[in-house]
Amino acid sequence: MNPNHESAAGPRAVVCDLAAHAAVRVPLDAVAGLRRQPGPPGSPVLPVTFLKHADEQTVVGLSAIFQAIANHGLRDVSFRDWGVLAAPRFLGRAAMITAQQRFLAEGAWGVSPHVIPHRSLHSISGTVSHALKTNGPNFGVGGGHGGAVEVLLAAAALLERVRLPGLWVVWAAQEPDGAMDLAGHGDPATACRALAVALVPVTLDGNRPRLQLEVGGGTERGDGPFPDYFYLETLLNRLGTAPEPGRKVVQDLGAGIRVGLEWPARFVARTNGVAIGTPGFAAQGSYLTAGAEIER
Amino acid sequence: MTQNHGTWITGVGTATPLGNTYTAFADGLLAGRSGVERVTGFDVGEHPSQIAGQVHQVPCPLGEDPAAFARLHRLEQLIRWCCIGALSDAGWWERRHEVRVGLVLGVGAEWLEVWEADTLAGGRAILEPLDKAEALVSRTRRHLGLTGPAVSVSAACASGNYALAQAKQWLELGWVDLCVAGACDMAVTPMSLAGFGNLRALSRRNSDPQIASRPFDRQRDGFVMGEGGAAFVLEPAATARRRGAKVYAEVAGFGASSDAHNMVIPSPDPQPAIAAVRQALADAKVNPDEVDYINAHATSTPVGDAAETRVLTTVLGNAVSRTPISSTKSMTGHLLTAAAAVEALACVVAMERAALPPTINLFEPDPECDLCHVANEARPGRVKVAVSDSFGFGGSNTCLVLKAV
Repeated sequence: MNPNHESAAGPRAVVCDLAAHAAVRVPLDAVAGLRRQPGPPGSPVLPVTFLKHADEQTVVGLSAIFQAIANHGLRDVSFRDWGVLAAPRFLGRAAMITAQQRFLAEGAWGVSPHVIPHRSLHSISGTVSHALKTNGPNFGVGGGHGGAVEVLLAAAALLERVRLPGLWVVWAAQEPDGAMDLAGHGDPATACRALAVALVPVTLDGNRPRLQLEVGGGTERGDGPFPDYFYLETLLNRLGTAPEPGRKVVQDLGAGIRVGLEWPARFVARTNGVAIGTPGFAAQGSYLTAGAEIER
Repeated sequence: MTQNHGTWITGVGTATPLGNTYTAFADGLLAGRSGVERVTGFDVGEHPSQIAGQVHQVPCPLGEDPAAFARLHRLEQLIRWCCIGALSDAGWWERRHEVRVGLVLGVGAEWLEVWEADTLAGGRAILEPLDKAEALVSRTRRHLGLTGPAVSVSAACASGNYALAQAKQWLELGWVDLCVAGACDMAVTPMSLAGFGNLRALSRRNSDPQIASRPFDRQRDGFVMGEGGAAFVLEPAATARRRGAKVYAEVAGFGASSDAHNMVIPSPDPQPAIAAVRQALADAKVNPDEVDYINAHATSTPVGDAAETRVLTTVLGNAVSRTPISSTKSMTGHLLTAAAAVEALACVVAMERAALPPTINLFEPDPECDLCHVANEARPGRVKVAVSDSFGFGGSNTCLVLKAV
């Protein structure tokens, strides 16, 4: 915690490393299979009914986490003290359509008690926390198109606020969010998609992508359109998987917010010697733009 | 007032079943008045629980077009009322364009509530493509002309504490000059009342609404739904001091954890919740025996109130027998996503009025809830440190510490 925030030093960036990430995109009718076994072979075995009432976005979000754990060799890591944030987009829409129709037909007794626990903004983060047995904080963020940016802001602030060994962040949505009928069915080509990233304190080894989030000053409104919901996945693809010290890609998220990913090099110098190794730390000034590929 | 560090609350805005202003809310709390009644506005004849604390009409803020305001969903009305009220109370409303104002709101089931209201009114919004659908937090930011970031958060009933913690951190990071933070919920709807009722979480004491919400009482039989919200203006102490602002309290500490046990039922293991409360006290640099008042989460469910008692007994140690505790849900009902924010406001009331709000309907304290209850009537008491516990579905445990300034 920085007690000098009332100083005129200006806004700071929050910096952390990505220990793992994975993206999952499946046709809606493939979610049923993931509901029974959300992770690849070797993933934690959940009770068979664990995801019975979960939303499709929850299933795919958890699947992305299990995939990330498998891909990045985290199976032996204890997530006990980690936190979980999740940003679903229009969670529970199809289920709500059918629940509404049943309510209209049957009245109060027709409303399933599972709608509220499993179709609210916190439902993905709560389910993931339960599945991974994490005792750190968990909450949902956003809920609409802006949630993709909101969750990164919330994650950065949480890493600064609470000393965590790691934080899972999940983006989830159905694509497209098109018209649906009264049975909750939409475009047959609808897919369910999720991205999961594991944010951890910065380290010196340089073999993990480093994420930097800057929130600028100024009082301009910045009411432009939201970026693509899975902008971070795009940014990860642009960064590439092979460490390339100094390579940096940046995306302008609007309203003075920028996110950058880089393969770190000479990190201490660029952050003015701010102590590293903390669960996320603040660095003054902007250094995302220098030498970066910027996506606007 | 010499303190130059920290994050201070300098404005509040609220609407609750006890009234739509801070003064009305404070007066209601300290009078021990119940805001619970039989639900009006829709037919509850087939609902298992037919009672709630309601906000019947959200007032239209000054400067808003009343006709346009009336067309908004009730949740959006509430958010505007609370946010504009808080900024006005803080003296920032007219000057909000001069500074970078952030917005962090606890809003837990926005789309479910908005879609339900639309469908029941004959609309088809839930069936239409959602490419252009705009979330309330974005629309509020745009409508109010705020220039800082805006975020919705939800940890169910613990959302308000997360919102205040986020706002405090945004200030400390220098992301914003001041931040409006709080939580709002208008969950007393036909489907929501039915859903919680069918979950068997609600009191069915339908014939006696005003004595139905009875936290810590041996005869409690479930919670009573409520609706409303509270928003706060948070700003750096130095800014508030420099401009001679009225100060309600310092947001001094926050702690959070998860049970990782069940999406609905509190964990039988109190350790995660204990950890959250201890984190908050440590963050605020407060010892358990320095706490002057605790606003408990206590919702009036048989399992939850006893579980919270175990948590507080462990954290407070010997001080548990002399630390005044109450649950203001006995008067407001359980405001769900908005509960933590409104209960933080109850702590502010205790500080400002030097009086402890009671747990009403505490006729026969449950031996499993053996605490230092402020039972049935408010009592005088100077409050320098107040603690508000809030737990939520999804296994969330949070604790907020406020200090008098």
